[in-house]
Amino acid sequence: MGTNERVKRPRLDRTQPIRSWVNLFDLSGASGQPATEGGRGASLGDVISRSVDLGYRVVDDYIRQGQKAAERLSGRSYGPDTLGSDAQELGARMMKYTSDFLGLWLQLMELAMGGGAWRAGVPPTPARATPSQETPAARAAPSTDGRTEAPDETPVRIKVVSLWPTEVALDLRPGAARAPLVIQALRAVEPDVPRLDDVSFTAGSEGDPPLLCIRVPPSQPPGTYNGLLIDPQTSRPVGTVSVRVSRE
Amino acid sequence: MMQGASARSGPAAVGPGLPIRVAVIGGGCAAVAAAFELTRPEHRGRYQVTLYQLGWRLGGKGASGRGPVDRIEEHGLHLWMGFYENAFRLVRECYAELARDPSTCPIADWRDAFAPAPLVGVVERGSDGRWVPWTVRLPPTEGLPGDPYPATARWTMADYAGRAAQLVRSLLESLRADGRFPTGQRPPAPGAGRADRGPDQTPEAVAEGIARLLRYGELATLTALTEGVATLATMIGDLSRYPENLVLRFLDALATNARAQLEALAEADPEIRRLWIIIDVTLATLRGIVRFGLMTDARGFDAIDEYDCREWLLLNGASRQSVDSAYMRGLYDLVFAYEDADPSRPRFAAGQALRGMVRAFFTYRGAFFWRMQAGMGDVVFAPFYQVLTARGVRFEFFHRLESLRLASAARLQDGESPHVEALEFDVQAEIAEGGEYRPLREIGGLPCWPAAPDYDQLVDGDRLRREGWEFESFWERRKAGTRTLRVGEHFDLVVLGVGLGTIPHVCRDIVARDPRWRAMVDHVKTVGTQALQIWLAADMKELGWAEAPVTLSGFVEPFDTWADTTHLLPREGWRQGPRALAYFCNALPDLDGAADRSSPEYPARQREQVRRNAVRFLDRDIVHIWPGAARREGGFRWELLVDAREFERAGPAHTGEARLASQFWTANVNPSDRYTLSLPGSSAYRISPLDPTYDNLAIAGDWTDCGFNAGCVEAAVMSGRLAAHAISQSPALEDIVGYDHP
Repeated sequence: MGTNERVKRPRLDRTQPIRSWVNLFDLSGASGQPATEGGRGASLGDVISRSVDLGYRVVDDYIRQGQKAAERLSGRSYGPDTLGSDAQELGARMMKYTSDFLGLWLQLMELAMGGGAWRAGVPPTPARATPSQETPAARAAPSTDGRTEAPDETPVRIKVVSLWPTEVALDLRPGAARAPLVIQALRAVEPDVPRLDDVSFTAGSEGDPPLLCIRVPPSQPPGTYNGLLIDPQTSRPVGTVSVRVSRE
Repeated sequence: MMQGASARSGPAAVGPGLPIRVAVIGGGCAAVAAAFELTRPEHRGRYQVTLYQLGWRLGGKGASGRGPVDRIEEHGLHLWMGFYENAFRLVRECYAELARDPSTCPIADWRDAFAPAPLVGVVERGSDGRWVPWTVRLPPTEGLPGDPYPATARWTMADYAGRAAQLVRSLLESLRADGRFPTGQRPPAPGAGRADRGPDQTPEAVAEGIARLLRYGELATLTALTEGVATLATMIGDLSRYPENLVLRFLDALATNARAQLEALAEADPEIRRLWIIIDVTLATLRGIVRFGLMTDARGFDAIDEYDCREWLLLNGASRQSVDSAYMRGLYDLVFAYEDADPSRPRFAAGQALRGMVRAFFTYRGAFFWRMQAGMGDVVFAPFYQVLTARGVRFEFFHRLESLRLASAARLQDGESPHVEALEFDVQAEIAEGGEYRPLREIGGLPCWPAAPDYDQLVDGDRLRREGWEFESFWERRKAGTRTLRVGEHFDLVVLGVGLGTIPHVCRDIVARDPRWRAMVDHVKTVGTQALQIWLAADMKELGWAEAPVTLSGFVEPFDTWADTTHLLPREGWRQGPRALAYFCNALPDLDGAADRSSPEYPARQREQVRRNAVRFLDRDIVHIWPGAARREGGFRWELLVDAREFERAGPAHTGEARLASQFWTANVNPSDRYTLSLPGSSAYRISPLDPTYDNLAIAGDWTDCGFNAGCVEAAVMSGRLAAHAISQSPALEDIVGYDHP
């Protein structure tokens, strides 16, 4: 019997469990096992199905928040501050999901453009976890000049000038860091909170990796600020920056 | 050589409309689950399944048989946990499809087959050397295992961490409500906890409150500690919005204060000590989840699988007393987690251990444990056998796989994947008149598996019986013939559902050629097990056990786990006699010069070792939990053992220790019977049933990388469903409950 006549197993969309939602952006084999044909690479259908799944989460959260608000209305707390808090919380979550969707959208674009196997938005993690290991997003300590790896393994320097503890998460499309990018002012969910304007992204030059620079004014309220990195050639978003400023 | 005829194996070639022939090898939970999935009516007969089984019965490590007076004889002690969603789902579907008549069959519905077993416990050793049981009745929870899960149900690390924090809070509150705890503590200062953790507070406000609380040491009272844990639960709901060092400092402060307040009291009060141990272990777990970044790690709990669970807890601040406690020993005992069965080498991969713990404690439905209402073969494998037969599955009993042969690499065409070319079997016995072996025997209206084959159905059956052929023994080499099945001619696809211990012997080609398989058999280790069943003439109360039927672990070697299985007696054939039934089990160390085929005396030596263990255990140790079983002068009351032959008038009864000969024990040392361990670092070497390397092969078993990498029924069923998915893309991975899990 020849090769063509032999019955073979079908090609599968995925061969690994989804252990964490971080996996949505980690399709490159964080478990350290080698990719095998028909196995590890993300298919379009896979990303789409997970996008739909994530969509359910948004809707679920929306419904749950609505239920919570309804319970409050029928219960003892009627104050506008209570509802305001719910709305704020919902807004923040929606913002987060929007950001997640953007990541997925970037993946879909890559696949649609024939990008083939994916590099993740998460750097490969070591086989053995260590206490306080870096999470997928790059983090910068106050007033440090950190260096991290972009998803395509192009190093990106992150410079943060801040009096306050500040975390920076950078999510870039593969290869995007090689081009000059435009970064928009970072916004908080609350419309009346001032933006973080003093941000820049400088393209790398020979021997020098690109530099993401963020300056947090001393008067900046604590909170999370998000913004997009845009490719000026195409006017399309190629990444996100999220900065969390806290007080201790 | 007897060749498989195409008439027996289905069409010789596959074309449009012809079924795909799947050879399922093995008859344990994994193989049966795969066969069940592939023959669902929804497939409209697309897969024609033939199951090849060593010996006369299905079940693998879950096989049971009916012995003298139709007593149930198990491979070991089996309990189903309330989170075995996949296993229960298939069993429920099986019983629904079987549609037994309750007026004629005593176990017609799955609810007849399983009953809640809420009382669990461990045994602690006191400073005076006595062993003291510590039992807990775990409350029933909503729903039943196998009920449909809501489509949006999802397990997240944050959810588990939140529930763990709530557990600590509940335990602290129970201490506050307990009169034994010192009163007169000063109340928490304003702003310490409650005021800062309301649902309307921003994370920044909560963080400021915590910083204040830490600054002024306001956790020094039990009330403040409880409030602090409540605040922690709030933080965990949105952990990414808090500085990690603040969360860690807060966890440290909670643990330090809890220790300061409880540890001294715990020394004098066993109740407080037990609560303290759970609090300590849970706080260490929470600290580790934060410290190791598990909330966002793409690998979920797998990220810490390199560590031993106890080692990881110590690393995250648990006390030595807690990790050495009966509570932790009980956890290890449940999965025989001792390397080489050595009690001084407890080893359980931390990630899988925590995954198991959170699934067991936080996701069980109905009851924590469910116990079977007859032998596992009777309530699980007989119904599956009947349903699968009705669906057209062919069972080839007495087929011992000798070699799974790969196509030669030199003969593969360009682009062709490696694949299974042939399956070589020893045929252990021929079926009389060329028919199909009918394995079940009805006992009290219930189809059951006998403990020995029905020789009347076998060619030369009398001789085989007389010569004592051991069909299930790895060391038994006698055979009636051989049979070779060839790809394309007799089968198309293979589900390999044998035990891991068998792989080096039957997959020599793959292990030699594929470094991943070689690494798997080198690193994923197994251990032998031992089991003892005793039928007693006194009831449990007379023996000194006053509580309800219990499952108890963490007890003394050589049998660290005991289950009261008295409920099974009415299913057996006793007209009078036993009033209690007890099952014990444990890991069994290998003897020197272990398990290769050149040592045919090995199983007998191990069986004798288990007998000696049982004598020592009953004579010396059982008194700690059954004081009524001991003679005044010490030693076991051997007359308590009920000898089936006395009721069958089959021979003279023994006296003294020799009465043990009438009981049932096993040394599970066959490679296929060995239990798969979850040693630290070993998960990475497991291979998934979805692995596409061999394009006509899917593996199945609790030794595979199946999402829940521990030796249990649930893992086996998950792997079987995954193997079916690898072949048919059904069930959807999202329908395999717990596969997508941290």
